[in-house]
Amino acid sequence: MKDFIQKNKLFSLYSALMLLIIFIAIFAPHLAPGDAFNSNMADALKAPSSEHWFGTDKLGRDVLSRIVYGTQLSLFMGFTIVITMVLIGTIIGAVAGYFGGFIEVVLMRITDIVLSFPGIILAIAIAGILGGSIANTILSLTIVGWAKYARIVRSLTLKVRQEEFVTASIMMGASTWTILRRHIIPNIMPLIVTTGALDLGVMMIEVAGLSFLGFGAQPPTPEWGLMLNEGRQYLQLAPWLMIFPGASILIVVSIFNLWSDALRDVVDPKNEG
Amino acid sequence: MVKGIVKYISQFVITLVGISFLTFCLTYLAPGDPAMMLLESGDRIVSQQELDEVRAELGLDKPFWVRYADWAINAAQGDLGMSYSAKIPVVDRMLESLPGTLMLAAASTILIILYAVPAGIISAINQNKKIDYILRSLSFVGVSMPTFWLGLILIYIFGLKLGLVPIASSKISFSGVILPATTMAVVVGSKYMRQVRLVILEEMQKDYVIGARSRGIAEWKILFGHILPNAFLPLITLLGVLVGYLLGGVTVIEMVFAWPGLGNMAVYAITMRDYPLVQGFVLWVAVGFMIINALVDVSYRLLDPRLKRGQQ
Amino acid sequence: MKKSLKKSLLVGLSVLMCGAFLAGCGNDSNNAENKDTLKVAVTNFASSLDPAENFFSWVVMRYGVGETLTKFDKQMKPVPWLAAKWSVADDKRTWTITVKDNVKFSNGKPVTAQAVKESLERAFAKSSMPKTFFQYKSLEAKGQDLIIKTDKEYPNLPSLLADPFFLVVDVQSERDGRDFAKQGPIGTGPYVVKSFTKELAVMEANPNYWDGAVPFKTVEIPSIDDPNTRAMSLQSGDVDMAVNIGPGEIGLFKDNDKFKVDEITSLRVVLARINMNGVLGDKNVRDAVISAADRKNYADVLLKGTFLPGSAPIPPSMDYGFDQLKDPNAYNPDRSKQLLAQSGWTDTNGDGIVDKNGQPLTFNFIVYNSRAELPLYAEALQADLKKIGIDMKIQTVDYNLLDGIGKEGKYDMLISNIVTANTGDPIWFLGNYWHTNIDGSNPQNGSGYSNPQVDQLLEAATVEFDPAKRREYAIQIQQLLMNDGAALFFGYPKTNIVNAKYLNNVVMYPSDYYWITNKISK
Repeated sequence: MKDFIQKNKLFSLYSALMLLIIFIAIFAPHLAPGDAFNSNMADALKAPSSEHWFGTDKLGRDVLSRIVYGTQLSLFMGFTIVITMVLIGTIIGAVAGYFGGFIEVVLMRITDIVLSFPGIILAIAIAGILGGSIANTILSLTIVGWAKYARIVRSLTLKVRQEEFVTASIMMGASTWTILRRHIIPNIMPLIVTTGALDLGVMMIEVAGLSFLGFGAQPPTPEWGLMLNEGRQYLQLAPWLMIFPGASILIVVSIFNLWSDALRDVVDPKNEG
Repeated sequence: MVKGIVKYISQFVITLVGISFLTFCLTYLAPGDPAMMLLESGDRIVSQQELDEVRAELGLDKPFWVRYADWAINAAQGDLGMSYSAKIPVVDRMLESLPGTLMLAAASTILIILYAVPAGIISAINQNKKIDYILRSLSFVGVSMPTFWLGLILIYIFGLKLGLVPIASSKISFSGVILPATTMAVVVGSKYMRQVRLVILEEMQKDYVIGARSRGIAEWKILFGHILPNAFLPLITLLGVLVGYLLGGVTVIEMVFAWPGLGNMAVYAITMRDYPLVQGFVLWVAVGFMIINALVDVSYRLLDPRLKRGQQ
Repeated sequence: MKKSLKKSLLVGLSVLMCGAFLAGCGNDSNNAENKDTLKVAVTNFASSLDPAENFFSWVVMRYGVGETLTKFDKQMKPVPWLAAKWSVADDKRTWTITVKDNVKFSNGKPVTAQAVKESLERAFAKSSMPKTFFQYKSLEAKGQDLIIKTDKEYPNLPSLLADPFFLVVDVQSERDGRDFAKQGPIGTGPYVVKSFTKELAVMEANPNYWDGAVPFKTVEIPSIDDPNTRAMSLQSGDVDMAVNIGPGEIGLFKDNDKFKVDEITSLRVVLARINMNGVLGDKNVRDAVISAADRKNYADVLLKGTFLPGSAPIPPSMDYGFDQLKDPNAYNPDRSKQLLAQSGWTDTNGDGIVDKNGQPLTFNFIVYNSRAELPLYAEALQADLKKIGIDMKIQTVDYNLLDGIGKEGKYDMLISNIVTANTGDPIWFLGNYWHTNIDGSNPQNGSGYSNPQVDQLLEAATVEFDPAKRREYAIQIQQLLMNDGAALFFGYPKTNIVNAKYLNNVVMYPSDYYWITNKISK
């Protein structure tokens, strides 16, 4: 453990920061200093003070508390989307790569279609047309996001399948499931995990972007993009409504990006970045 | 060669059909009624008779397959139908917004190159030194920046407080494109800068560079004479992907800056349930994206001697 | 690597970046000095200018291109515009409208009754909307007199003709090849379309304007949909005036002597329709909910005075007895608690929510968010209801689902932001929302609300010719609705137009149709 930290100082630092964010997200109800949900219009649009560190919004709700709750939602959305994408992409890619033939042609054709399109635009169209909600945000970003993983997993599966130890296992009569579990999955895991980690930050920004457009979370949900959208109407009167949620996105996403970058160095030290 | 082109085009067509069908299904399954959106845009109460008439006028009363077939046959002939909300042909409506998107994409691309290429090179040749860390940290901040947030801050500072640039242009002008393009350059450019750095680093570790260095050739000669020419192709490829993305119109930024581009148009089309326009937009993005990719691919084949040799 | 190389690269980089940024900086125009051009920031929904398409006629009118026979004054009464006078024969179905003889189209052609007739015919032929206002049996032109015959009695025909759908355009010019959609129609207004896209309209002075001088050579009208950006454009001097500044910024202009704000209560009302079939079927609960809503606070604090607090269905911008109506459910949270207790709702388990038979008092409120004030109202009401122990759940849906939900009655409360009388007559609106609905006879009313007395008055008012009597009926209907707790009337939005002080005569009307006139000058 100590050695690991010594060897991977940056990674350990970022991991600690990330754990801190996760901690905040999990314990949001206990950490939020004020009331994130109930309005008290006598306190509306109060500037940051010792009582409300980040000020209050138009309904008198404590901005810091809403940001703390927002962490919960952002992390939940980021992880849900990435995990779903990875699962779907891995299954499709592994099936295509392992079985080949007609299944592969069809699956990869679909993958190519999805990949031949800038994802966020399709996601906006999907979320916008289906109507703004958290579920639709997850759905739309997943629909456009899984294909990348399918392609990576397929090519890795193809490669691993041709390795001698796999061919040997097949000849020894190991079941498909065993081969997938023993050989294929462990071999594709590192790349999938690092790619997925990199997508966490991206997804959090895209979730916020959709909410900002009005196609994502809906009031009164404390979501950062939505808070920015609401705060924008008071840009001059109450700039803190813009500054703090935006800075939260920036800081959290930066930490996730730095962490995933460092993670890649740890998993695959040859690749510098 | 001919076979390659045929394969390319067939892929192209299959993708277009797939994408358009997907969007069509989406508009069909989606809740809501375009006729209602049109009639209620005056916020008045709408009678059932009016609703039925407009639905018939828009062809919404026909079954799904008929609608898709109609659309696909016309689209194949270059007719994308009439926009519900604009009441002019979809193609005309998109041509109105195209210059804005092209201008913003061009300006953003120039700024991205101006920022990302030098910064990436400096960072790479100073690997693991102070300047590298500073530039890399900045790039991390850049990629983690929500564009809409940065855009609003820039408007606030440079538009409102300093009065240097117009706040919202609504028309294509040089002074109006600066802020949105800068915003894009910071976020997209930071991503590109990191890619540039990696490409250069990779190139620097190649044998010919080490060889050149051992022969005592000046560093700048190695950089400009060897590394950059060799890194050119991968850099173009990566840039191509970014340009394809920009050509789709950068919705959020166009909204924030009231920039008259396709992204802005698309958001309006989506909220108005203007399905023909949404379809047209999606099709354009797919075509644009694929053409860019094809161009990159072709230039690769033409320019890269190794690939040529490989083919022979 | 050599130091000098690094340095020169660094310097080069910074020079390039700064250069690129600074090259375009610098504001070229000083609007106050530029006497020939007017710049107006608006939000525009029209993508073409054919007045017969969708609601694009509104834009043709607002931009000063088209004019109608009559126009609404500030009290929503019809006054002459292109028409000099009008009269109705004793059969109440034959109207004679005399067109002023000095009116000219922007191409210099005089406007005759025949031209008006063709224009009206075009509107009816190309759009399905005009016939929802009235239907004619015949149109006849005699010199400057236009005779309109109808099958039904339309007591308020002069008001109906003030709707932008009926703005007068030169149909002959269209036959001669002008494309109204792209080039804009030939109308009678002070300005003519030079170029038009949804994002930017450029207008020029109409050299043949009939009603006085036209002060600006050019009018530029950018559409800036984001209210916040629109406000900043006005502050920074990019534009001379802007329409509909939001609550976040209006204060900045009111407190600033460089700007003038003209605001007026619009014809809209924001209300929550209440379903009589759910938990709100109990009148005590309904009254408790309405009494708990601090509507003055919402309007003044939350919306910074951009709304008037609500109580009645018809806004005070129209003379339908707003001041004499009594709100039985004025803000009084203590009364709300008593009412709940009367119906047996008390907090027995101490969770802050009242309950009865073990069930907490909870219901849903369906809102949409494309208008910024609606979620605000919903969230504020939610907070106020919590204080009296009601757990209201906000459910946000897409705007275009709203109509269906309203008809099917799938709500406890449902938000509406609706124009009560775009023709100056609110009876139709009242009937649509609250006339008894038997098996779809009045599909808009999905609330289950039914009051025979209201029905009777509505039916009488629809056929009444005497404006004074119509008004009296409308007042009675409103009072009944308020007594029944038929809906929660949140407030009435004001419309505003804000201009730099150096502009003169910028006026906002309740109808929201007249933005750019030839009276506006620098």
